[in-house]
Amino acid sequence: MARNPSEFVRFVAKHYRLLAVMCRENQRFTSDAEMEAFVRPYLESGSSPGLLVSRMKSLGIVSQTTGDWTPPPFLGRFLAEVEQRHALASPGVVRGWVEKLSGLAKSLDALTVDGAPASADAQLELGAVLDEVTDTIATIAATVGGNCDRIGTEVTRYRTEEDSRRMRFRLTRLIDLHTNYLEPILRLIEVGGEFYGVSEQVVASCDRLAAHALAGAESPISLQAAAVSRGVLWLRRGTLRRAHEANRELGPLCEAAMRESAIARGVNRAIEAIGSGNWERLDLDHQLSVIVAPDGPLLNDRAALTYLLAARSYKDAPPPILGPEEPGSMDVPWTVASLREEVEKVGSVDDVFDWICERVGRDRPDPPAALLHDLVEAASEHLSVVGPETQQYPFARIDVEGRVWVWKGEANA
Amino acid sequence: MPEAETVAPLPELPERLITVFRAMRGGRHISRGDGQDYLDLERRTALYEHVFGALGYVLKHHNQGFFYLEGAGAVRSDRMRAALLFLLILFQELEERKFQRQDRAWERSLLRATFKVTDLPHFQTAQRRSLMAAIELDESKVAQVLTSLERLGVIRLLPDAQFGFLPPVYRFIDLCMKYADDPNWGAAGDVVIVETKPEADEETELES
Repeated sequence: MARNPSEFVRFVAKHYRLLAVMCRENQRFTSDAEMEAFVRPYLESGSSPGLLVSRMKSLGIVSQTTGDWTPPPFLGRFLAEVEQRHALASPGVVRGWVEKLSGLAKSLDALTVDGAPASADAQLELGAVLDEVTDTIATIAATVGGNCDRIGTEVTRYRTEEDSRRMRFRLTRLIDLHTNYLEPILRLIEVGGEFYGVSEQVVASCDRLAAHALAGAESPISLQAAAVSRGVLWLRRGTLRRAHEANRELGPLCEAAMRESAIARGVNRAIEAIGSGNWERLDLDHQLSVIVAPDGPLLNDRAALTYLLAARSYKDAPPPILGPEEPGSMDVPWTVASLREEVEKVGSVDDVFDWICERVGRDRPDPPAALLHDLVEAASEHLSVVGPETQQYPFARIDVEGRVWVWKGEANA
Repeated sequence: MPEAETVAPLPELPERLITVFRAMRGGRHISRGDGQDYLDLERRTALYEHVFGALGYVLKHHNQGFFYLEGAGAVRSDRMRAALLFLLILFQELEERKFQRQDRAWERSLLRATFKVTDLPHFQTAQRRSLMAAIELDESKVAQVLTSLERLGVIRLLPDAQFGFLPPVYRFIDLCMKYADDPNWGAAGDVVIVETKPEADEETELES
């Protein structure tokens, strides 16, 4: 039955309180008696509930769906918009719609695999699927848009709130909206997300149909497909834009709040540890090390510093005086001069370092190495290195590896 | 005649090496406010790293725009305790009072804020006084703490007994974040955002 819009709006205006409650609470009535009982508190004295219920039915203020009398969904949405109440759909709800769209996209794909179907039945079915696709995409866009509106309202409320108790609550609410609603929905509808992929499928099928129309005779189904394709792209772009706008509004607020909340948690933990005298828990030696050595040494290498300090503390001291119990004689230490005199007598030596070691001993490598070095300095014309190979020279506590030096009686050329 | 060997010249030492090294070895964190020293460090970071590395120090460049030294011979932590506690109490106060601010946040504007020494919250409650007393800090020693923080490059002292933060304060902020993220820390008493129960009408409205 056709509605009379003027009468409808007039009734809504007159019985606004009643209808607002009915819609907000999603009231369903199984009988007229139930409806009459519900409307009675809202009536002026002397008015008949039966008459009002009958009027509601005739104007379409309530309609019968699945056996129950309820206000039509558009009335609820209209009043919510007027009151700026935005229903917040969970990401699960949006995902459900996307799954439905995915099923439709598959049907569409199957029906358009060879272009527009020829049979009238298949064309009818295709038209129905296209209608369903349009409705579903519009629902997704409206749901996401509703969420974004709700988020915008919450942000405004937070910004205009003056009571600090409520502010904290609202901030917590905003963080919840951001984390549990907006971010999951953004992931769903972003490029590369599930919704994006499914809508691409729909667009591809619709474009196939539209191309078919261009190539041959123009058919209404192909025109419809082209319109659906444009609509999908437009709604998808709009939905994504609104979600990004909401994120731009909410994101920085939440990011700052979450970071400050984390800092405050760290502060409270640290203060609690300090309060109980547990400074070790803070591990400041590692976590907050600061160099403070304005007059200290240049080097900060401990090994080098120790060596330098030892070197600085060295003092020249005379050799120890030998007592009566010491041996009466001692070996004259080898010098480079006595060594050279000896080697010149021998004439030639195949391994000079080994030869020196035989004379000065193999207790430590330093004395023979120093003597070899001095000998090379003093008589380089008689000494030369043989081959690239190295030779191992064993000592009491260490083995030394070195090239083999040869002494020749005649000076090198 | 043998060819003359080409010897690579030693790199020129950074222009501000002396002043930078002297300041950093004194514990200073060098940030943009330090002018030429910071610019030279920023321009020749790699060379500074090399020179300081050879001397046994590690040059650190923080993403908030400041440099500091690490290495063996760091100051004992007990000398940092006063500075840390002072800042912790100040951060706690900023968090608690953030809803009285226009922007309802404090961290992002931390480097622009100024603080009056006479308004500091450190001795305003018994709990805070007792914390400060535990490390032998009374009101007369606040100036010492501020001087030490200024020497570290964490704050700048301003006229009329005021001060403001410099980017190195983020070493302390980072520390708080580390404590917050530490999974081994007990969760008790960690709730920061108090979920105040809304009033009846508000609850209906929010649950819709």
